[in-house]
Order: sequence, then C-alpha cells, then structure tokens
Amino acid sequence: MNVHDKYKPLTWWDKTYIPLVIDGLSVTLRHFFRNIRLHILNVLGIKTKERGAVTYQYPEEMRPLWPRTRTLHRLMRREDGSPRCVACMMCETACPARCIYIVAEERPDVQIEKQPKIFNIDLGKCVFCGYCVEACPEDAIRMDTGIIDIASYTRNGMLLTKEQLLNIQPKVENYVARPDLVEGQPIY
Amino acid sequence: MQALAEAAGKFIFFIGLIVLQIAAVLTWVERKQSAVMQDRIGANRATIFGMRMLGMFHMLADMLKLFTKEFFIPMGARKFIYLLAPMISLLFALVGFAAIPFGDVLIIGGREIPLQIANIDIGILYIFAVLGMAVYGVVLGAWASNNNYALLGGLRASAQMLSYEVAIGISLVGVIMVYQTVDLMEIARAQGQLLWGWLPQWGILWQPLGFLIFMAAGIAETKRIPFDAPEGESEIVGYFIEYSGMGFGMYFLTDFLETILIASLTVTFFLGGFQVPYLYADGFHFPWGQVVLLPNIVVAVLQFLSFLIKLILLLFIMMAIRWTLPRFRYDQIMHLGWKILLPASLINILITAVVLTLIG
Amino acid sequence: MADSIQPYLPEEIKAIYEGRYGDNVIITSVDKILNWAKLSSLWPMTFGLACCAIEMMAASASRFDIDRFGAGVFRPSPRQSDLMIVAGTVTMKMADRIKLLYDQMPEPKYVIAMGSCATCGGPYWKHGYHVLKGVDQIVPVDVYVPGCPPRPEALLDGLLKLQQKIRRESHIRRKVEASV
Repeated sequence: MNVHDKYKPLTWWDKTYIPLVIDGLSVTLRHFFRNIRLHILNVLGIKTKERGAVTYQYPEEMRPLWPRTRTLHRLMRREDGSPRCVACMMCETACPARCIYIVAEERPDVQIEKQPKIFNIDLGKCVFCGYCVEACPEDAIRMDTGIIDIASYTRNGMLLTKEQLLNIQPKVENYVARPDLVEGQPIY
Repeated sequence: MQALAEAAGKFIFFIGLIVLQIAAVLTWVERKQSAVMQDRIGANRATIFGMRMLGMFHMLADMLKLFTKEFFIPMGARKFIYLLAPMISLLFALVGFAAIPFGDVLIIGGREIPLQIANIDIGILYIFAVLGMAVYGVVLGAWASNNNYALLGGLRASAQMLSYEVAIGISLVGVIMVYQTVDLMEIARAQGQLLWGWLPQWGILWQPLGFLIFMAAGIAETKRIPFDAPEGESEIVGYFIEYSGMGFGMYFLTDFLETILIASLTVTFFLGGFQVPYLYADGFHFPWGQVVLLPNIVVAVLQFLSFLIKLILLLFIMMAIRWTLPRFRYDQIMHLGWKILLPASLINILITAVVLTLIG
Repeated sequence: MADSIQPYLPEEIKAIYEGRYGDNVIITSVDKILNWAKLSSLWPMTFGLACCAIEMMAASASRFDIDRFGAGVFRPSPRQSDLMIVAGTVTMKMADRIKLLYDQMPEPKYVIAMGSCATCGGPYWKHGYHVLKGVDQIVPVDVYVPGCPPRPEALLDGLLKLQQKIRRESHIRRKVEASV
C-alpha cells in the first residue's frame, strides 16, 4: 500500500480552487449567521441560554477555575492568630526557583518552638509549581486563593511579605488543600 | 461655472459623505465580522460617556492614535519620495471614483444632472489608467524606505498588480462586447433593458465567467487576503514596514478605498449598477402590466439605495473571503494570474463572440 | 479588582492610582481625549519568545478575547505598534535585538513584561548564565505580569492596569521629563 495512493490527483474543476473556496466559505458563513442570530436574540432578551460568542468577558465574567488550580499563595493562621508556619525551611528548600526567603525567630509558645520573622515570596521569580504546598508539614502555605490578577507596576510590588501573605482573603472559602493535615490531627 | 458647482456638489456628496465614511466603517466591519465568524466578540470597550455603541468608537480611537504617533523618517531614506508615496497611493485610489455612476439623472429646477462625478466618454480606459498608476504609490514607498525587505515587498506588489491588471482588462472586453459601449453610465443604463420581457439584462447574466474572473483579479489587484503576499503580515513583511503614524494610516485607508473601488466596479459592470429591476425614469413598469408612477427624486433615491445595497453585499462577501482563505504562496499567485485567469478570459471572449454572432 | 491589588502596591504608586496626588498631576481635557485614544487602540507587536507566547495566543483567541480592549491588531512591524509584550525567556543573544526593536518603535510606546522569565529571569535567575535577568535591564517596563505562564486572565489584567496607567499620563509632564 503506497503512501502516495492517498493523494488523488486534482481534477480540472478542483484546480480552479472554486470547490475549496465554497467549502471554506460555507463553514465560516454558517458560524456567522448562527452567531448573528444568537446575538440578536440575546439583545432582545429571548433565548439567553445560548450565547453568540464563547468569550468570557473578563473582568466582569470569570472562567470557572478548578479547586486544584495553583493561584496566589497565602499563609494560614492558627486559632490564636499566629501563623501556622514553624519556619522549618522545607518549602524554601523544595522551591525550584528559590523564591522563598525565611528567617526564623522564637515563638512565645514553647511547645511549638519557632515562627518566621521574615517570610518573603518573590512573585516575579515564582513559577507557581506547588512544591511548597506539597512540602509543608503544617498546612501553613496554600495556593488556593483563586486570585490570578496580580500584575504590578514595579518590581518591588511583586515581593510579598509575611504580613501581606497572612492577610490575603481567598475568593474560594473553606477549601481544604491537605485533608490529612487538618488542625487537631496528630502529625508524626 | 454651473458644471463646476454640480461636480463639486457630487464630489462632496459621493466621496466625502459616502465613500470615505464606508471606508471608515469598513475598519470596524473587519473587526466585528471576523469576531462574529470566529465565535467571539470584537472590539467593544471604547466608551464615550459610558456608551459602547457596539465598539464603533474604536474607529475614532484608531484614527486619533495614528494622528498622534511619532512620524519619523528612517536614516538614509529619500525624504521627498518617502513623504510623497502614501499620498500618491491615496490620490489614485480616490480619483478612480470619478467615473462610477451612482444614479441615473436627477432633475433639479429643469436641469438634468447625471449622477456621475465626471462624465467621461472612455470610462473603462480611465479606470485602467487609474489602476495602473496605483502601482506607483506602492513601489515608490517601498523603494524610498531604504530597507531591503520593504523593497522586496514592493517588487512583489508591483509584479502582482501588473499581472492581474491584464486579467481585469481582458475580462472587461467581454462586457464591452455585450453592451457595445465603453462609457460606464451607458453600461449601467443598458442593464435596465429586459430580456424576453421580464429578465433584466444584468452583466452577470451575460458574462458569468467574466464575473468570476473579474472578482478574483480584483481581489488580487487590491492585495487583499488571499492575495496579500506583498504586504504579508507576520511572515514576509511587506512594503510599508517603515511607515508609522499617518503614513501607515494613509496606506491602510488606501487598502479599503481600493476594495470599495473594485466592489463598485463589479456592481457597475455585472450587478446592474444602480438599476432596480423594472424601475424606469418615471416609475415602475412591471411586466404584468402594472405601472406605478413616481416623482424623479424618489426614483433617484431608490436607484442610489440599490447601488449602496449591492455595494454592501459585495463588500460583505469580500470580507468573508478575506477571513476564510489562507494566504497563497507567491508562485501560486503568479500561476493563477498568468496561466489560469488569462486563458480563461480569452476563452470568455471567444464564447461571447460566438454567442453574440449566433443571436445576431 | 482594586481590593486584590491592595496588598502589594508600593505606597507612592497606590497614591497616584487612587488620585491622592490630584494637584500635582494636572490632566487637561486634551490629555484625556488623547489618552483615551491611546488606550483604546494599543496595537501590540508579535513578540512571543517562549512558552508565554502560547498563553498570549490563548489570550487573543476566542475564549479570552484581547480584541475586546482594542488590542487585537497584532502588527508584525515595530514601526506600527505601540505595545511590546515581551513574552518568554530573554537570552543575552536576543537582548540586542530587543533593544533594537524597542528603539525602532515610535513614541508613545509601552512595554509589558509577561511571565516569570521576562520580569526577573524566572527560575533561571540564580544559575542561568545566558539568561538576561529581567527585561527591565534593557528596556523600561510599564507593567509586570508574574506567572509561569500567567493565565490569559492575568495578561488581560496586566493590560487593564496599563490602561489605567495611561489614563493618568500627562503630555506636558512627558515633554518636561524628556527635556531634562
């Protein structure tokens, strides 16, 4: 079976390209008239389930994101308001882009010994891979806020400090990233 | 003096109010039609006082932005020709509209005004001359830019435009043979006569092959997609890459003006011009006997509206072709122009001659 | 949307954006009209270098349409565009060309650094020997869009922030700054 058998030679009618043009035009014009009809019906208020365009009009409409999507980071707090992070440096070690910078200090509660004094994430360097979330043993850092509009005018504006990371309000509430590490469960 | 005033009035009306506004709206239509064809919403975020108006303010924003862009001259470019070339292009695109009839006659105060800006006896030859001079604007702009790739784009453009002018010319010979006149106004008037008592003798009836050849060659002449190898965006950049600001704006406008010129020529030669079927100078004369008398002003308005509607329909089809077909390769364009369209138009002349001799 | 940028704008930029420096930045109505024209018709230059180019293509496709903001006409030539979206990793070899193309663009011109590699070298910032650590070392950048690659919505948000920045421009100030 020769591979060239698939290609039939063009007839003289095919060589004028007219049948191909008509084929292509029929596809686009079908889309055109269908969308015009739907646009007119949408404007008049009838039949608004089917839209004339598949566009999600950002910023008014957002495309629905899956809960596992890796978006902006946030640091979680304990019940008394102090950060869950114990400055174990596991996320800093696991980060492939080396964008996390942690300096530890003593925590007033002696049972849990450390807390971070400085916790900087440089969003410019971050590749949003999620390794820090997987590496953290305390469920202290999550990437489930749902915030994706993080553009900035300056380079320094992309450096998130500990205070900013602790105060980020997620768009998606009550989502549990690591159900095996929910507070109250023993961690060994 | 009277003739000058009439011509000035027609010029202001037709070119100022109709053609230039259609060219401006075509920039909006291009974006919106392509958006609707591609299942998306086109430009719609330019708001003046909170009103969006389907994105029509983007035309205004584009124009203002092109005015305020820095217009600089590349190092080593010939300054005079560099500044002159877009103006030449625009001039010869606009001047071609002088021969297009957009109505029959308008009787004002006992004086008959033919609705054609210049009453040219050799209309078709004038159109050929204008189309031929349009090559200058492109080639001069490309040469004066002092850029290798712009020069190559200009040479491609000149070769393509000259090749397809041959095909346009020979396909129009068939039209001249059928209507036996070279004057555009007479051709438009002759398409109002009825064949067998009920069929208006439009050009597409007598010359279907000529219509297809003229359409294809016309789209190639104006360097629209699928024939836009000279100005090939994003791959082989073309003749206006060194122009910014209003120089580019003039080339951009020339593109749309030539499209409207080719569309109005097609309407005049093949789709009956300004003729509404069965409408004569004094009213409707239907073939089944009914006669509706109308004043002259209503007849003139109806004829002008029919010209506009046919023009808009043809522009819609040309836009649909632009957004459907991919770009042809340059040797495919040359092959189509010389080896397919030229023999086809010669065969068209042969068939027309045989049919006219048989009919007598 | 203003709430989401609250945590990470430096104080001066936030002040200008919120209009608290009202009497220092004077914008006449001619400025308003010209700024409106500039921001409603930002024509980008096709400058996709690496994987962020795919997200730029996705932003100009049907699902997230960049043409809605007037920025859908991608010109191939730098002389006719007024926005350069540097999308992708910038190597030292490419840096010369970026500087050349930026110089060829006519005023007024803007640059969006898209993606992690264009803002600060990305994951190659420590050991990448041939990577330019951020395109703002050679061209002045107006908006940085972080992400690897940023989602199309993030790029559209960057474009909207650039439009807000253009809205506050004053032609008189630009001329004064250029002559100093």
